[in-house]
Amino acid sequence: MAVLQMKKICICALKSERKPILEQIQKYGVMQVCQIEDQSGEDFFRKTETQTSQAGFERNATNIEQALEILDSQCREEKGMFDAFRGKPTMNESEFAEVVRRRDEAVRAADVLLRLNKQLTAKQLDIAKLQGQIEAIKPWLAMDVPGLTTGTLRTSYFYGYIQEKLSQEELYRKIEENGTFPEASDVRIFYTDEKTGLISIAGFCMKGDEAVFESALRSIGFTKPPVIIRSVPEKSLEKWNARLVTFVEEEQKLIDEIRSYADKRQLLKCAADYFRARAEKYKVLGELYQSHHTFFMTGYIPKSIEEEFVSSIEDKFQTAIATEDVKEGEEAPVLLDNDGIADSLEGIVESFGLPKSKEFDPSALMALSYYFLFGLMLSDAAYGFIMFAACFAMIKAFPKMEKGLRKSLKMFMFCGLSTTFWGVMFGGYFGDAVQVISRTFFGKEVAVKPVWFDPLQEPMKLLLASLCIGLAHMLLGLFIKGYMLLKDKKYFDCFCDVGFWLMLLAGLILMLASSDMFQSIFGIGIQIPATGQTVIKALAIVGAAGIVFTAGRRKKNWALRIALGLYDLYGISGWLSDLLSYSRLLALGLATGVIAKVVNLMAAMPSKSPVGPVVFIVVFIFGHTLNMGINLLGAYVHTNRLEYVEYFGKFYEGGGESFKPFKLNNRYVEIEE
Amino acid sequence: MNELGMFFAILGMALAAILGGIGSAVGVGLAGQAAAGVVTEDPSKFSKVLILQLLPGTQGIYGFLIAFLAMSQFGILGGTPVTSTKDGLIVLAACLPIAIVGLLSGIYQGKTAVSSIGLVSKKPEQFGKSLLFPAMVETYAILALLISILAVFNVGKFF
Repeated sequence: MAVLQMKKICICALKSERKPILEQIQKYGVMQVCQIEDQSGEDFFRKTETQTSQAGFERNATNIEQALEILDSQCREEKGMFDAFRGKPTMNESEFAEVVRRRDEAVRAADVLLRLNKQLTAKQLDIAKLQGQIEAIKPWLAMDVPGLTTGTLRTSYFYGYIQEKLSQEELYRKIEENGTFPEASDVRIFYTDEKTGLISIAGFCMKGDEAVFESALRSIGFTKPPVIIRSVPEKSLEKWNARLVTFVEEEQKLIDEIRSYADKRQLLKCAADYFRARAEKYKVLGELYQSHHTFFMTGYIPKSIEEEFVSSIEDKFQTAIATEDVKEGEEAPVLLDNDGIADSLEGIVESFGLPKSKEFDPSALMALSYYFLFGLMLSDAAYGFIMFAACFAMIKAFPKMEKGLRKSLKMFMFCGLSTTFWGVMFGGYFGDAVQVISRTFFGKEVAVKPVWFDPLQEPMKLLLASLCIGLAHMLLGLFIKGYMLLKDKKYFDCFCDVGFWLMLLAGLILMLASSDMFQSIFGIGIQIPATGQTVIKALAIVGAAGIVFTAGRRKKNWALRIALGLYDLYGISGWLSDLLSYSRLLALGLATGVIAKVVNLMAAMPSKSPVGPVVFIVVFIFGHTLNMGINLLGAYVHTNRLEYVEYFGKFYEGGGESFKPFKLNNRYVEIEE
Repeated sequence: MNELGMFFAILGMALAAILGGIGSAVGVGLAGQAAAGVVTEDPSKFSKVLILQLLPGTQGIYGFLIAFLAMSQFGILGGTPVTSTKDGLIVLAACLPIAIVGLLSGIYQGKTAVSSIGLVSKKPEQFGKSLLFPAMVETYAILALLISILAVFNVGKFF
């Protein structure tokens, strides 16, 4: 229903029992530990240093989690399509105790896995390097002298490549053009790479001509090979290939060895959870103030379970527990508690920002309008029913589903219901599928009458309805603001900030509704007699004047006060743009209907051919899935927007800290009592 | 039926589909590049960034919607064909709001979606807020759509 009321709690107990007490609290998981920084007891109470042990446990947990990732990368865990909905597997306490007993085994296994993975990475690097070498030696394979040969006693030998595809003659000519070609020397092309256009050349000359010849060659782009080849290239290649085979074998062996740990996965998961929980416990332990024989801890617990919690500790341990209400003006952590249809919307509120601890929880009052608006935007009975049925089946099939996911599914289930309702109102069942199918395949059109009206025929009527709904939605926001001010006994503020606005809005709306312009646009309007007109005008003027004179009432300076008041009155333009924003209800509603209609039209096009029905089914399923997906996303995003901007903007601030109890934050397994 | 009038009417429908489509294609394309980048780093954010990528896709749908409505009003898929050049130009004008605003808002919504994807990649818990920024841009496409819808349904009065 609301923001749960919190109480401050202070527990004082014997130091000898601190660990079991902490474990009890952690298992209970309802207390947020929040140590009061108080200097007065400084020399008597001390904190213990627990960071080393905490870091040790965290390291263990991280190592094990990394080991699990390594295991996953080498052999995927079999996962079903719906595993994400299944929730965490459960264990009873004795099973978990067994795991805790074997925790050292898990740590060792994790260490081995990490080491194996390191070796595997190194091996894979070696393989890549070797493959690179094998690739790079290809241009030199035709050379049948060892790569380290530099020549004989009187001659020099060299080899390398030129980045230009030349024939033997062109090579000779180029060398002569660019320098001298010494006597008793030669260069030969022995390999041409067709892909890159590189030519591999080898040559010799007399020792004395080396410098001259080399500079001639360099001027036409001669470069030494990038790989170091020691022996005859072909021999090197053989050696490398053999090495590659062993490397690959060794790689496979490492992978197999990693895979052999797959049966330890469950143990590793539990152990990771165990170490995380211990690390958490030591973190809290480090925050406790302790004397020689006692310790005390403070924090927040929800008021509703205060007694149960306190007695659960007092029964088992020798403690002194005191609780007190959160003082006025002090911010307590915030936990929302709603039931029925409202709790599914807590996620939406949370992603905007939790309410402050004394603020009003908007979930419940948002719920109805949220479903209402969502349904109006999607507005197709068939889509709505599919959504409802799918979400309902999921919730029923997977009772242990994770809480947040469950809330979202529940939300979409209700959204589906509302969508069905609006679909029936506007006569949309997969768009106009009933009409199209009956017309094309049975020769006689079955008419489906909308319960209210068909928006495609009367868009103006839907526009007017959208704007009215929007106005009601925004006024609800304004009323909530008024209610909150009244609750805080700020009667004058309520009168100024809400009352005057209501007067102004009521006056303006009535003036608009009775105007000729309104009647010509929407075809309907209200008649108000002349005396009524005067009253309405007076109402609007009083409201506007009230806003101008009171909005800046906290300022002493009258000029500033009026200026602020005028600025606040300018906010009426905000109301206008917010109101127009609700026209998206019409736009999105029409979009669903029109696209559905187009899908049906296209599906029915080849109906005369023998494969007509097959084509129809395929196009129908594909088209409607797409349409439903896109419009569902649109409806979700734009309902959020209307709630966040237009509705919350009227009264809601948010910005509360969420309640983070000290509990078992298990990632992999759930432990049952 | 007047051929030149029909040409202008169809030009209007075509522009709604073309410009709205281009706006969305550019927007979804920009956002898709950013989304793919995030998924390379963290595949678990796929569904979140996919939703953000899809947000600028609506302008194309709106353009298509107007094109289709106009086709069914002015003699291509039903309704009555226009009978003069003036009528054709009127239909063209009715299609222009969503065509032009669809193009530009699609591109800018795409850019905003890119930033939102960046936000989600660093702070996944802020997903709800990150949806809002691109949705703000969309408001103007919706307003243009609304004007185009109302115009397409009501311009018949001036024929």
